[in-house]
Amino acid sequence: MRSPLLEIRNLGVEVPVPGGGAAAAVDGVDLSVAHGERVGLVGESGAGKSLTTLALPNLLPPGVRIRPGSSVRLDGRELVGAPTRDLRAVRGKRVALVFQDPTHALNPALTVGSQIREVLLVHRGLRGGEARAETLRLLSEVGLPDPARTAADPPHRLSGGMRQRACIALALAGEPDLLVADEPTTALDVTVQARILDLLVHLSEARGLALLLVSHDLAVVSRTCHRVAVMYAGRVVEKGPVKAVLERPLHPYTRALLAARPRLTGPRTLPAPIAGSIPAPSAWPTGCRFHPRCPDALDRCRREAPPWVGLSPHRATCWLHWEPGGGAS
Amino acid sequence: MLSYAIRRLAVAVVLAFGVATVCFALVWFAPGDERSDLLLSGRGAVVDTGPEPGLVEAYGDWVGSLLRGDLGTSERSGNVARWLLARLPHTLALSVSGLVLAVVFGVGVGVLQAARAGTVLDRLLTLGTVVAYSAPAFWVGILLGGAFIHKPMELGMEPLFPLTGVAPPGGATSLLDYIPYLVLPALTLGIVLGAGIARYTRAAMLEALAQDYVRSARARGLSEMRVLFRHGLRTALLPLISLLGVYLPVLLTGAVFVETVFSRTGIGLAMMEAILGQDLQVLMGGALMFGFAAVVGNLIADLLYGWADPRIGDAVRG
Ligand SMILES: Nc1ncnc2c1ncn2[C@@H]1O[C@H](COP(=O)(O)OP(=O)(O)OP(=O)(O)O)[C@@H](O)[C@H]1O
Ligand SMILES: [Mg+2]
Repeated sequence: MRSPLLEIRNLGVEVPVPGGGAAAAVDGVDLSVAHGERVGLVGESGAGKSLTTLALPNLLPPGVRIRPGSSVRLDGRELVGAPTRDLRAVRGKRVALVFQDPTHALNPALTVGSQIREVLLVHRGLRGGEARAETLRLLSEVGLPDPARTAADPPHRLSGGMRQRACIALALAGEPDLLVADEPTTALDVTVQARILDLLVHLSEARGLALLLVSHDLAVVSRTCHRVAVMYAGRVVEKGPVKAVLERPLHPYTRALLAARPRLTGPRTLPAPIAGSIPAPSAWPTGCRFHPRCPDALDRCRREAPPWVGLSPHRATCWLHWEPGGGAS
Repeated sequence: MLSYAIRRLAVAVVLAFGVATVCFALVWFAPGDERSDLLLSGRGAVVDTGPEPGLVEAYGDWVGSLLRGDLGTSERSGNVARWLLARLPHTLALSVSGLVLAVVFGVGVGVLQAARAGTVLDRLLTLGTVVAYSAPAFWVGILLGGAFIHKPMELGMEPLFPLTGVAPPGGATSLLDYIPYLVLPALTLGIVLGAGIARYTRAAMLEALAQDYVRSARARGLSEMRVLFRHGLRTALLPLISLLGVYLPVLLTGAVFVETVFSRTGIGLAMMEAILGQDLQVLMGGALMFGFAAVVGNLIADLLYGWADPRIGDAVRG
């Protein structure tokens, strides 16, 4: 078997805390993405999803840093601690990012075309007519109806959906192996959302592009991804093939997420919200971090961090499924 | 864009007219004899034939001669328009080179500060720009003159630059001859004006660098130079274009003091002398020129801004 394209081991990201000091907003995340694979990263607001994605090419905001002992390997090469110049060769060229808000992801003062040509020049050395032709090709690949016109337009003339397509074209310009999309459809209309997701799946299949898709919606992940990892309070609490996780969720948090989803089929019940929200990283509880909100929490959950349970590849960290000498491995 | 340009041009014409009218009104309604001196006797014939004309007639007369480029004559300076026009190139040279230096200094320092925000260097430069920003132009001029002219002379050396004037005593043989005379005055304006631009640029750059699109640009693997200059500075500088339009009057009043300090025979010095010699014709002519220059400067700034920022172009078109 080929080694995974991306392998995250024990990733920790420390954020400054208001009173001083630092807290691990991402705390020991393990995650891997194979070549061409689509992986979803799901969790509520504050779970640490964005920090995880920003940590990959080290684009963390000032004051936020990767914890020593973390490892991010791309095709076996360590990125944590790599010099900026090496990271620049990874950013956009091997790992491209697409952000949530397409309105602000494009420079308002430059045309869409010139922003794409910039990437073509920097990463592929294309210029002049070649770059222009490739720009048009990319814009039509992402389904923009009038590439020539869009290339000449400044971003504000595009609708939200078109802007996100332009951002995806920009991400593709460096011919990356991995596309990391952080809630790429959250800011868009529902109808547009579905089309952008279909586009991502199509591109992934057509180009053999791996996708790490961040979302707080399991439905989004289920229609796009092969595997999913569920994050809670800086940790991955459950991961596995999408179908298995959705059909037989192990972790109470995953079950709550599934229950919180508005259902399109079946009885029209109101979504059952999970009471409360994820606390700030400095106030994370001991033991299982979900225990204050867990309906089935045991005494042990309050004291000790739960072990991994379940059969690979579908696993979760939860005491409820733990059998001494059994499921824990 | 064209229709915007035409509309903006029309506004400029109206503004210029307003400037002229205000100049006229200031003199007409001022107490004392100046109004007859200035608005009537300057026109020669008017005073001799018949009674003193009323406000409307005098104003019409005055605007008429203004449109012909006639600013009247003064006892000290003769034909005022010709007197001022002969000085205009020196003031233009000073203002333009001062402005260029100011933009280069200001933008350079501002970008450096933003890129190194919070460091000792940033703090030192903030201190320097605050001092320079609050310093009067003539004071900076005197300091520079002291450092580059008087100090070397005290030490028995040749001064680094000529002390006063705009050209060698015998007259200039080539354009290059003017440059040594321009250096210190332009530097003075550049420092005073550049300090303001630096403070603005630093703030605007910090804001621009915090934008999502700057993070996106970094995420695409662009070099820090590209991120700073093409993505950060570009948007930070757009408003600077219109700021420069606002700065123009500051530049021109700066020129008055700088020309006085360095005895440059430009419009500013002419105006200063006119004030001291109560030469109202020249003073009013100079005020008109400065007023028109401000109108034209703002026009250029607005057109440039519309051209440089696609959003504005669309907003005014649509
Ligand atoms: N620059 C920062 N400084 C301090 N704390 C931060 C910073 N960025 C993120 N955090 C904290 O880290 C935690 C995780 O943030 P992150 O943005 O990764 O969450 P997320 O899972 O992406 O949530 P969302 O769905 O809201 O995007 C949050 O509690 C947040 O407050
Ligand atoms: Mg996020």
